[in-house]
Amino acid sequence: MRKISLIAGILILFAGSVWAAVAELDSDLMQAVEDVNKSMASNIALKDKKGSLSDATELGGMFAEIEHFYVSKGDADDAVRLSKKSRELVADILKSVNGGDFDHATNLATDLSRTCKSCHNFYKKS
Amino acid sequence: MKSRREFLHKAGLGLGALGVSSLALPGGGLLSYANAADLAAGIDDPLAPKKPHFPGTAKSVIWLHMDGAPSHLDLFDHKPELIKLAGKPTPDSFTQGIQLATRGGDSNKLFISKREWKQHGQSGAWFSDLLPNLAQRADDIAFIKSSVTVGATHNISILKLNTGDLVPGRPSLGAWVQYALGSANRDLPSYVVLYNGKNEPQGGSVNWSSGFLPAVYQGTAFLPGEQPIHNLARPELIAAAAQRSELDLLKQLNQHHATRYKGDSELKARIEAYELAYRMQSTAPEAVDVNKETATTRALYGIGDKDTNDYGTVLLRARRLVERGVRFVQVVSGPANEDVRNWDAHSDLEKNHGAMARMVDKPIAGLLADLKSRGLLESTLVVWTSEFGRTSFGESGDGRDHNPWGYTQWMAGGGVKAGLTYGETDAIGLQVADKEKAVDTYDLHATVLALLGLDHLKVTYLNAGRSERPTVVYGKVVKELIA
Amino acid sequence: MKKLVYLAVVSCFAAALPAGAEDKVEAPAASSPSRTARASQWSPYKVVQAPALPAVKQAKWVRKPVDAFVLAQLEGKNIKPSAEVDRETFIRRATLDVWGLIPTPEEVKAFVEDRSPDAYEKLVDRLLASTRYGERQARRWLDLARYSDSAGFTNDETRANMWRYRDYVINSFNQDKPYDLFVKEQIAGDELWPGKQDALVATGFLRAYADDSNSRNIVQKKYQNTTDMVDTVSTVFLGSSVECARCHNHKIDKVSQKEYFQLQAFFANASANDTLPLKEKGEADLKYSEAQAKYQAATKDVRDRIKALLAPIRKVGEEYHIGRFTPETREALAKRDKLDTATPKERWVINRYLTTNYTDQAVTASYLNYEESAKGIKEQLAKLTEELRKYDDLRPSKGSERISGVVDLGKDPAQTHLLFVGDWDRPLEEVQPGVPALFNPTNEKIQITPLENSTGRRAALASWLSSPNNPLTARVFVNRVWGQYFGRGVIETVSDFGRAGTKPTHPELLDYLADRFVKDGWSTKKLQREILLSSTYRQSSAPREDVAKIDPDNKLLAVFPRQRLDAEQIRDSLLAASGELVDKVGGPAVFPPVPSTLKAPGRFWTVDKDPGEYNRRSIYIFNRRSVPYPMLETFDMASPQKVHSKRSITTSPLQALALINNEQVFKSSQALAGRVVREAGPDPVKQIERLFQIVYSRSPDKFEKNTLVSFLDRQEGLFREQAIASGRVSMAVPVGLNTSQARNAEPIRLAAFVDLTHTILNSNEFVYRY
Repeated sequence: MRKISLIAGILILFAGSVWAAVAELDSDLMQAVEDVNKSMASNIALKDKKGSLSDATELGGMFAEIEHFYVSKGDADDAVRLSKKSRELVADILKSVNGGDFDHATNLATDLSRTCKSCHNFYKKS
Repeated sequence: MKSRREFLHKAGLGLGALGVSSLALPGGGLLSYANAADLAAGIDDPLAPKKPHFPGTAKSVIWLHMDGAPSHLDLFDHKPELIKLAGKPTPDSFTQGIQLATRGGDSNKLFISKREWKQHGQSGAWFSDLLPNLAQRADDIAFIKSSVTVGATHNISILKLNTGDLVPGRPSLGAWVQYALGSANRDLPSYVVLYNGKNEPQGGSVNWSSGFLPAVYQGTAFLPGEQPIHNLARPELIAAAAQRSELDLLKQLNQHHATRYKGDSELKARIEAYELAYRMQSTAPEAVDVNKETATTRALYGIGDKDTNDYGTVLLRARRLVERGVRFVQVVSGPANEDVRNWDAHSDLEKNHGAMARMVDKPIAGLLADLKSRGLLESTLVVWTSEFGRTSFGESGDGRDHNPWGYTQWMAGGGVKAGLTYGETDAIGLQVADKEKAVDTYDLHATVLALLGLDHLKVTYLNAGRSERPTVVYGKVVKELIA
Repeated sequence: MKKLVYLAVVSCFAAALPAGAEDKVEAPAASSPSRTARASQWSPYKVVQAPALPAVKQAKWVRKPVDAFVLAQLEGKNIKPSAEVDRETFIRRATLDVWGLIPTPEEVKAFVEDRSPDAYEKLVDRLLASTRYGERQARRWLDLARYSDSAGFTNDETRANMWRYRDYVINSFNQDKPYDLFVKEQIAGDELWPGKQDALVATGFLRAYADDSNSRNIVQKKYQNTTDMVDTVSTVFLGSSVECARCHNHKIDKVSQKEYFQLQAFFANASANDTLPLKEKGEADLKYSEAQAKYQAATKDVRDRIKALLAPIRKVGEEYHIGRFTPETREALAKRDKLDTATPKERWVINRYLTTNYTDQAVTASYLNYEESAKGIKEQLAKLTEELRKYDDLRPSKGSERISGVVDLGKDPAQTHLLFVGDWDRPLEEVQPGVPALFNPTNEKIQITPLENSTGRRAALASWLSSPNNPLTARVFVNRVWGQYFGRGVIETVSDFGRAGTKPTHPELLDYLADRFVKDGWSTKKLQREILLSSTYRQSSAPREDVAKIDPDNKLLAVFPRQRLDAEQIRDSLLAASGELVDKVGGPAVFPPVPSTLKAPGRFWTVDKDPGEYNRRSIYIFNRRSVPYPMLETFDMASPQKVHSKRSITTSPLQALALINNEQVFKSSQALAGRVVREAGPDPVKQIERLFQIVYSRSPDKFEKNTLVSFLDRQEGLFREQAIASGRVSMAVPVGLNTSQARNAEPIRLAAFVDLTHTILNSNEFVYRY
């Protein structure tokens, strides 16, 4: 199933984020982020390249969506910064996985999770 | 043999070739267990000692859970600014970014208890007058004054403290440690839970559960009191030899039965449990008998004194267990007396913390001193933990509410950098000052594992097709805390 | 601007979610294919609709409609269901599930040899018709009701009447009481059927909360008790833990704080009482009354003297006593002699005081302790109390003339306020009873009709809960029953249907079961019958590698899940095997012996004088909150502190010790050995055959026979060696043999056989059901 989203996911997610931006972030998206993130951590640990790349791609799209939401919402600098950082980390993870450096990817994925957490623990209305 | 391969595969994910195949260990118990018949029947030895990823400094952990959440602001975290502002409403600048459950009304007012503060030892660490004995051990301790967690009800945050998740189902830290390192003494459970007081701690056995790990890794809870284990003695009419013979038969039957349920970890764990139970009959009474200690040692832990007797007994038991190779001893603080059930001082903090601090101060100081004098402190990591801290503002006029945004935990022994203080809270002790230095439970777990020689990213287990690790998807070793 | 409240969200719901979602009623349409795949259209908050039966290829496999739902998913993953299990295993499985006991060899044989086409139906109907069915099902329900025979906390007082509620539950299941009626009686039996004793006893469900009689703040206590009742009702019946909404708006499940307190308002006047009069007395009650009357008569003189002694200080002592309560409580108690001036809330406080704290000795105790001038009275009181104690033997040790339940205090309700962050002393706006919109998709109106002496509020809540339009009540219950048979509910988090819970594995199956259940008149027996007769339930539990790969958690049920017996099943089956089980239904709780290492105070555990009570089923063992019965506790019995939704399964050396070293288990082994020798005669092979039939419901295989026979020889040799070496031998012989049976056998051989039965009772096969 995920193989389909690997192909379709990027285009549609990125495109989707544009028109979905004005809507509110719903908890399904955030739960999906958490699910995919966990799946990715597992796939990296298992050195499953295909699975890791698929998850990372999907996550990238989701963070783009989240970032876009906060940008258009305005008055949310921290959130914009953190979702941007997340997206960049995902890009680095993609690179590491492509290069077969799973150890580095694990560290990056852990950083990514911490970024999620710091957003949720510390992000305030700004 | 399928199940064995499967197990090796699972374990091997994290531990590589060092995994469960290293059976050649000194110690008769193991050899008699891991015999050819066991292997033929598909019985692995999930408790065989395993090498860490790198040489660790700690061999055992004593995990002191302060149940109910003590106030860092009345024990370790000295805040002159809080004293200055006491009685005034909490300035908004301090509450940015957090949702305060008790804001509004009188509860907004900053609160101080009747504490006297002093610096102690070479390190100059602050202690309040509630912990006079522990203060003498200042130079053994490394403080984490920037602890954070997810704050909620006790049960949920306690679960996070022990398992890293807010709902039951994940393995506790002690279970992961046992999984990763195996047992160092096959005659005792390798992961023991102790508590004082009549009742099992709030939250219960999910806090020492093996979660999705094989059942053999879960903690074994000893009862408080003189007889920590029921049914430890054989019935009068069963002679030792007859019992051994029964258990040999039992093993034969269970293994025969297991051939129909290959790879069933619960059934295997039950076979293992009987062998351990058999050995415990002779080892456990001795291991927990604090009367084997000298009067001086017992006094060091406050045994014999009403306020400290029960908790002191539990800690002395913890030391005796660690001395015998038990990997992980989880000690949950119980009630100080009939009125004070735990550290949860929503009101009358003076009375609550007075009693609780009196209960733990001398025993913990005694434990550290005792471990040190026996040369055990180097290899025993003692961790003071709690599900959260308490707020800078008062509640009910003379208590404090829960604070997950910044509180103190500490470690001693096992290779931590003694005398260090890592991180700090803001001027009133409400939130961590520098969020980059915040230490969440995952980070604490990662650091404890690192001291044991384990890379938390590499302690992995394949559960339902997913690679799981103790720190979920988080965790960062606080390197500064490691000597 | 909206305030973002991450922490509050995260703290309660275990999932990091963004704020900003709180205003939405439904999640918007997913904006990407991958998210669509993750989101589910099914919702537990929509009214149940009968789903269409899915089409399946292997139609022959479908015995009952539930099978179609299970099979459809299996076929979707290309998994074949498991083969049908053999009849021996099936009857053992079903008897354990329905009765909580192992079947007898005769029952097994009859079923195996029954060649009639409806053999399974006959078996299942026989099981469902037995009173043992109620005893087993009730235990599961009592887990949810946080049932205990004591109050909890430090004093942990005995609640001498709670067993009536336990018997009510057993009887309700045995009568197949419609579940909607069962719900109504437990929430509002007093209001809906005034004067009907059984309905009043049913409110013991609400009363069963743990309580601290020592509390000095009764106003706060009222709030705590109400909170417990509301949390229990919503968790048990609605599968929704609303308690987070007590402190803040529920972020995920869309229950507002106001709605939470509206739920509390249904219980505004609900007052627990352990002294409600018992009007219709049974045989045991009459016996109790008689004994109690004798005791009262014998002690009248002493008690009168105590009363007279305390009379002069009664008033001043009570004032002193009340002085220790918090101000608001004191204010209320000041009106205890002029009840008409008290507000409904104050009435509640006074009533609790009078029913909990009000005896001459209790109210003067602290005064006597602190007042120097009363020293003389204190000393005399001690003497008189000592004298009174001499009559303790006359006192009936159990039973009662009362009922524990919940009733409303008057028709004018105490006000309920929304409380700021859930703090009892921070009231905001007043709220009226109401149910969360989320749980009420048809907008069903809550009709409250006050009664003469009762608010009628709980009756209204009960009617809404038991309405077929309630989206949760039926779904939650059928899911629990399904989970009871398959180890995992269709929604695994059986008490959390919210978004923090797990998603259903077979949503249509859940809806089918709920719809069928209501249409079948909320019949629990019909529901269980369908499950028991399904092909899904009839599958083998043999592990399958192909399934393990595709469905490692066996969520799709291609294999029947083997399961460790729960605490009560283990103990009860042990007694059934040994033939010691005393099959008597109902009555006051029993106190069997406990290990000598249990240092419980005598007032907490006094072993019954009558040994006939020792071997009653585990459901009748006194449930003391602070002293759980060790044997059951070791095997993960339910904790009665709050709703216990799922038994955990732990495996520990302590459990092994409990079975190899426990005196009671050893005695049962002796009795089992005696039974086998009696029933099978002296031939060891026949004995082993019989033993296997009793304990495992099957014959031993060759390996087992050989192993056991050589064990007997070995064990016999051991005893002989021991006898020669020490001149004496410690061994136990079977119990219950007649003289000729005993004379015909070698004692040493008999002792070896006891060790053999003891071993079999410790085996994995015995404590699992397959």
